[in-house]
Amino acid sequence: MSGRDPDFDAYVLKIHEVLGRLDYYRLLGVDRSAKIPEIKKAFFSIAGKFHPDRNRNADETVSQAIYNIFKRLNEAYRVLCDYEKRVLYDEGLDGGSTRLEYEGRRTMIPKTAEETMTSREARQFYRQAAEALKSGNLMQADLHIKVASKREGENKAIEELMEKIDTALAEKKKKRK
Amino acid sequence: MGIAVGIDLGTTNSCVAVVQAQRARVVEDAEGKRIQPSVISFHPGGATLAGQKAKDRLVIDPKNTIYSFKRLLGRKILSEEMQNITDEFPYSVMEGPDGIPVIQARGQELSLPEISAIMLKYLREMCTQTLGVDIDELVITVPANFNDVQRSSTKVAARIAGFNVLRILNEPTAAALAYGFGGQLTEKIAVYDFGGGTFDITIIELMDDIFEVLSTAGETFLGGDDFDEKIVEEMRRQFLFMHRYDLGEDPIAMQRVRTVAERIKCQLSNLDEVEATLREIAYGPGGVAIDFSFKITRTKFESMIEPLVDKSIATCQESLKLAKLDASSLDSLILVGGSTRIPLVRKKVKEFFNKEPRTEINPDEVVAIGAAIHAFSLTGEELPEDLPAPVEPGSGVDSADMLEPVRTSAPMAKPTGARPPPPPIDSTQRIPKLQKTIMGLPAPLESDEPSHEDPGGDLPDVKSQAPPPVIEMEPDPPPVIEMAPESPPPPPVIPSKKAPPPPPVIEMEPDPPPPPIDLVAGEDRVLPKDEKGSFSIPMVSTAAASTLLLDVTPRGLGVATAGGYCDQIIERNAAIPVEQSRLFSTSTDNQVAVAINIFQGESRRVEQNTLLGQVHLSGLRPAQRGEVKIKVVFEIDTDGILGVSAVNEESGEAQDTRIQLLGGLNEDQVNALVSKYSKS
Repeated sequence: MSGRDPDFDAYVLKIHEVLGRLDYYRLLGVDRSAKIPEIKKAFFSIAGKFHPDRNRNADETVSQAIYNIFKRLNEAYRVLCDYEKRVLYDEGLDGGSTRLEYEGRRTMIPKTAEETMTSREARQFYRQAAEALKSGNLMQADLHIKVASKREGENKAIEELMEKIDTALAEKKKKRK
Repeated sequence: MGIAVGIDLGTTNSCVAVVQAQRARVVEDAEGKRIQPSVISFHPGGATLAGQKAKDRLVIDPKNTIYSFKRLLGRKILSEEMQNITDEFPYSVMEGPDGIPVIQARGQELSLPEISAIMLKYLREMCTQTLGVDIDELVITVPANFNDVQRSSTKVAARIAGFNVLRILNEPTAAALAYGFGGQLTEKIAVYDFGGGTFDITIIELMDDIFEVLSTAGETFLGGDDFDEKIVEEMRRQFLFMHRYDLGEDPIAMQRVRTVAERIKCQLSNLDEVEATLREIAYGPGGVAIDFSFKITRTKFESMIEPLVDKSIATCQESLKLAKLDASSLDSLILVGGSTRIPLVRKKVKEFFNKEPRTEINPDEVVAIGAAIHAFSLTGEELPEDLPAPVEPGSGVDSADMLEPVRTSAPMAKPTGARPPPPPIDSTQRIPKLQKTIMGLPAPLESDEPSHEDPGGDLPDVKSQAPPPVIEMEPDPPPVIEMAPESPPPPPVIPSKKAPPPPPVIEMEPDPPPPPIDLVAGEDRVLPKDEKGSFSIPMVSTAAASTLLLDVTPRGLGVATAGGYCDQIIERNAAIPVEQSRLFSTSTDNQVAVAINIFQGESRRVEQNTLLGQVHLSGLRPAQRGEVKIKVVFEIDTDGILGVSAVNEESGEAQDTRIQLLGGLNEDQVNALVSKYSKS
């Protein structure tokens, strides 16, 4: 472990500067169609150069840059090797988001009802149920909330909305009579 | 950057290793012992003993002798699991400030990092004595399933002991490194690590020189100690039945029972039946001494521990599931930790993985060896073949009043006395001898030899009678001589059996009149003893040392949200280092501070996860609720330790953040301890 390659350090700092704009595929240098073994190979070869353990002799600025880049590389590798996450990521990437942010950039406190759901589909159906209820399409709302509840049981927000829809349906029946 | 050692600070025993001239070497103490009991004892004379010396005092002074302290490190006193184990301890564990456990001994109150630091300091001084150089950097290992607080407490302990911590390394990962995997293979291996206090299973994939941990799972409250306790319970039950007296009422008797139970457990790995006699364990009517004879078969023992072993197997299943693999897709299986000597454990693991396990390296030493290899790969520095002259008294680490590795038989010590350094002539003779001893090889000195793929395969026959390192039959046994095929050990001065356990070597340590029971304790018999075994230590090839480790975090990390839910921020088994961020906002008007509860665990319900601590954001701009937005970044670093930082979304400036972890010391407390122990 002697001197460092100044070109490599300059390269590191350059990558670090544009890190936020690099998507996972570009970061790992693979195609969007790349299969897992290819991604693995690419990651391992980059990790060999960018792992903080391999750069213990770097100065502080470069070390910090390498550390940040490596965290992102880890993230990219894990997301692209996980089928479900990759599907979500690709969706987000088409919308211009270079990172998979599991719950989007949202605020934690105060919490909206939807945010208590972990299943993406449940959240979608919940949203549609809420909209349907607003527009007075009770049958549609009932259907959607039932699906949401199936996807995610024991969620207070879903249960509450379900109750609302049920009362609305009951009232409608009464009025008809 | 200098030379760094690898330390395995175990629940029951600790071991230190270092790389010297391209080979891993276990650092022995002055008596040639390769593992040191993780025990601290506060002597009435004011000295603090550690290692075997402290362990010898377990039956004499159980109230002031602290063992298994790793089980308490980084834990909250109030948890149910903690209550169960502290009830078993003869020493007193109290609630300290902020709910952290403190140990009361000999009028002092000590936190767990402090206790651990005393042990580490002892090991550091042992290195100075044996190697002749003061080493102040280390790689220290922890169970893979240690959480954030336990990891940072370990780091704090090392800091107090004066070490610069290069890495907190997971024990199973270290073990895999020691086996010298690497090179051009693509392999999947399982490391089954059953120690004194914890159980870990880790699945690792090797590709070229990359070591990728695919998954890890474990139980923090499952270990060899629990097996001992099963035997203790049975002994207590039998004694109660025979004599209508509960041995639990007498802490000294209980400690003797515990010591014997541990020996029985070890014996049962080789024998079908073991008998133990405890003389004068209690006194009957009229002060008549009662002897207690206890007999147990291996079958009986196995039936008692089977549920515990099954629990470990269930955890193996879990780790395979996490790695999305099945047992048949694994190429190798490594056993680590003293509990893997138990035949039932071996049988069950072998059945589950359907694989012959690799056990060539002593399971008590393998983790330290791996840590030393990793230390070498991080620093690129190793001990030279020829060591510098041993340190003069007074130089190097000097904390005579805190800790003194007391020698009993000290073959190399000058008869006059206190703290003699190894005389130079002995030291030079000693090193080549050790080379042979460690390697079990006729010392091939070429450093650039290709990597050893099967370290056990072509070794010469290293059959030596290696007594199980933990078992000490007599209060003052002859030095344990392990794995010395040809080199004769230094002629040990074997003390007579009737000698009181610690012959006073140091003036500061007055010889206490041994309580009468002590002599009796020395006669506790477990017959017969001896474990036959031969282990080897592989060569540290350059390939193993250039291996890159990609590890994971054992548990998920989440924050509490409305409605009792937990929002997972970093998922279980995420590759580290890793970072995730979330936006937080105020929930009431003009709120100037936000507290975020951090949880460890994977459940969506808050109550099923463990509260780790709180992140406090302060100095917010007074505004309407929801208006102020703070981006909080959660990071787990390469040591597996959590870090939190925050940025104000409006101004882009860093936000005041304070993280308070439960069971851990705060920065001020740590600094106070660091300066306290650097003085001594």
